[in-house]
Amino acid sequence: MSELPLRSRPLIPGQVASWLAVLALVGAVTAASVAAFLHFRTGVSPEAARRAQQVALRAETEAKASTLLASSAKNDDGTYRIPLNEALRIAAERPEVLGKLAPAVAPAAPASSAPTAFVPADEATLKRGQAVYARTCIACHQPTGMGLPPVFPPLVESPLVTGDPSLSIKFVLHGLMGPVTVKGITYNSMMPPVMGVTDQDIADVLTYVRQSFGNKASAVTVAQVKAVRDAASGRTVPWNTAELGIK
Amino acid sequence: MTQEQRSGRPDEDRSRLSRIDAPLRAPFLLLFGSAALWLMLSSALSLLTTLKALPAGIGSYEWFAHGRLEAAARNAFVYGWAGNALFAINLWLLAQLGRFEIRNGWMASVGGLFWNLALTWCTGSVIVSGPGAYALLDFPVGAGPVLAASFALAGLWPVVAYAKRPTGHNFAAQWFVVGASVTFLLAFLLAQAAVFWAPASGVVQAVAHSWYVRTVHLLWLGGSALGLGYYFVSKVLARPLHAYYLASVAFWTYFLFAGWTAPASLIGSPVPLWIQSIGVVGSMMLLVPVLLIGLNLLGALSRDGGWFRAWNSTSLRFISIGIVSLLASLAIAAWASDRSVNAGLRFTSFAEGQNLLLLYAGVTFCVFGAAYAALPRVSGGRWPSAAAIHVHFWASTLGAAGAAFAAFAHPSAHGFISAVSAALLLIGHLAFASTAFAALLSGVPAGESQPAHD
Amino acid sequence: MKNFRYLVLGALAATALPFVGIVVGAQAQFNSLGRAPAEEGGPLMPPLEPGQAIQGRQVYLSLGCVSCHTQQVRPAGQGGDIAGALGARPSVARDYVLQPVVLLGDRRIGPDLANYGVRAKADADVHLAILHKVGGRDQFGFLYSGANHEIPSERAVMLAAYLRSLRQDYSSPEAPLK
Repeated sequence: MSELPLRSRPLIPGQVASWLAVLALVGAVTAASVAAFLHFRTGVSPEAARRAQQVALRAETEAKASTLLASSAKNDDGTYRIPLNEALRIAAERPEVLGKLAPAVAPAAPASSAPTAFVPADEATLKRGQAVYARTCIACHQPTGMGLPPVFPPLVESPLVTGDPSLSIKFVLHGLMGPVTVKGITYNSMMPPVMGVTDQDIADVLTYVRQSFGNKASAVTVAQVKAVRDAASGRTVPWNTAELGIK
Repeated sequence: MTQEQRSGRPDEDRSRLSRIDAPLRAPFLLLFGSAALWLMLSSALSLLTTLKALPAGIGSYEWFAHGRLEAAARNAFVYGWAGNALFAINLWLLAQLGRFEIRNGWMASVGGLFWNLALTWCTGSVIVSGPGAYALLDFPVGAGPVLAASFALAGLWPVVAYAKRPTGHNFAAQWFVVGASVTFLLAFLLAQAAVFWAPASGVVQAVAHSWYVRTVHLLWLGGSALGLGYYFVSKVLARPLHAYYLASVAFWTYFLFAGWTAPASLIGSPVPLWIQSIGVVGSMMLLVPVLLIGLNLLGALSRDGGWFRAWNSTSLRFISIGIVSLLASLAIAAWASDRSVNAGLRFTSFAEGQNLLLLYAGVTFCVFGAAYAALPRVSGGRWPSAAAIHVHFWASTLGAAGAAFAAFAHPSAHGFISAVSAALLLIGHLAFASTAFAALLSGVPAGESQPAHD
Repeated sequence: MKNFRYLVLGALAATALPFVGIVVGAQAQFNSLGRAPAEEGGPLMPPLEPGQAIQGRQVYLSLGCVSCHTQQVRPAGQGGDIAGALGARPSVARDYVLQPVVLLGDRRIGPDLANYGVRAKADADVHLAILHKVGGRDQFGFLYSGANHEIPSERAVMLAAYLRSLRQDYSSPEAPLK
């Protein structure tokens, strides 16, 4: 056994140094193994790439909208600050940009006009509708309303969306199944019924969708939503394109 | 290489031992006391999971969903019970083997304190907001670093103290214990990296997870238990182990092969075939250290009525059952890794039985045995009652046997027998905790050594 | 202490070598795995999940469903999954590329769910399945309200959407449908 009495052995300094050395060794092996692990992680998954693209697009849209709103709509030489083909996408994200691109539309004639006439809704309604859109529809139909072919159909240039409002109300209340063709692409996913939205929310979001992304359709009222809801009160399954006569 | 002869120890050694044991009392109380509490919590939660339908009052709450209770029980068992118990026992064992006094044992206490705080947070988070996707990796954000740092204090500090000890010789028990402690920290950090910091894509996460679980089970827990076996078999029997020259081969083959057995739990899963095959081959190769360790330990027990002496010694009784179960579980794993056998056994309760055999009947019984030897030496206290120890032994053994039968036998036997076995285990653990706390809290001051119950 | 040094290095090697061999090896093989068309020029598979299904996965995870359910179909020679109509083809790694956490599971106390979306019929059946009636009691009644647990909460709806999105009934280059 040891000759020196235990208590006088200088354990403490050596102990700490050895402990730190072991920890450093563990850290070094960890770093080396993780480096090997990360070395093979250089490729970005397609999903991550798509999401990164979306984030970049949104940031770019936001930047361009801010520029336009902060300054005049046209440059000195008469060209628009935002090219027309991009204006669609940017106006979808920030509707107030529309005010810069086109003169304010005079308020339309009162309610006696045909229900399908385009009467621009007031800014508060569009804002509320945009908020509902961002909470529910955006995951599938995307911030641009362009959807994700061939899974989620676009809300842009789609007669289903801009036509008879009761159809859109039905989709939101009960969902939709079955093949649908929009702009030449056939979609066959299932749209689930939208949960957590009141009749007012539905009216607002449909108004927003029908008057954004380049759409020019009539607004949707709470009364219309209620009417459709009451008419189909017993329904528990999504609508089928066949029974609605949609192609 | 001489072995300690307990009865023939000179007085000078006796007083030195109590000088070695005395400073361990406070860390032991904190660490082992926490371990006993975690064991009871884990047993109680496991009992709840075996009940097919909980009573209406509590069953209607989200916190008692089967998945949450089970994840909490698993965390409490592996990190709470086994972690704390191994911290305490390694501290004691390394001091014994190195025959030196641990200074700054409070470092281990501080580590243990933070380990338990972080673990309480993790377990609470599992119950309240749900487990993670992977077993034994249910950590809320921020818990990982705290656990890693506490392990560096509670698990690695005694190991380093051992390296600085006055004596020079090396014994197999130390290799296993030191190796196991060093393994865990590295495995923990790598698992955090592969699953949380830089998540791998898709099924690679499942591969990383199965590697982590197997490393924790075999290298950390199993390795520590084997170290306890190597120490106590020779110490209690008071003679050298059988074919001891093979011990270093046993150690290295065990450590170098065990990690590769992980993919055996992924046979048939959507992971590459070459990875599955590595698992099968690794499981087979692990039979080599199983054989060698069996020769060393079971060979020593089988000579000169060793089994009878084991039965009559509280600590060796538990330890010999522990070692036999551990080796049996590894042998069964080798058999079950064969593809045609695996086809029928995968996704059944067979894996639960294997885990029970390895972690409970194996590792935990070894820890029980070590505790019954260490507790009186550290605290100098007497056992409150021999009855509690008997209750503990029989309840744990019968409970484990019942649970193993329920897991390995046809699933229709599952429900009732599992519940009864889980209840037996809880009773056994209550008895054990009462014994442990009584011993730790009623101890005489350091310097007077009392005979152990052995 | 020379022995101590070898011991520490040996233990670290015993841990790191299987990690590098198995995990990093798997990473090297699968890192660039992406979606693939089921047939020539067709849409990429696996399909993107509806927004509600993505939220439903969080509900599935938080309730610990992975402890009793698997989401993997084994090949025909490795168990009776395909014969037992759990799927038309074995699961492959590509089926899981879009999942942020992979809930393969390890135990089938309940049925395998890899193709639940193919088997599920009406919404009411899905909600009944989620309720898990055992011993006359609804185990997951807290996800519903109403006298008979018939009104699903938002979480139950999201969970149902997630379960309906679980399908592997498309061809994959590694496992084409017959």
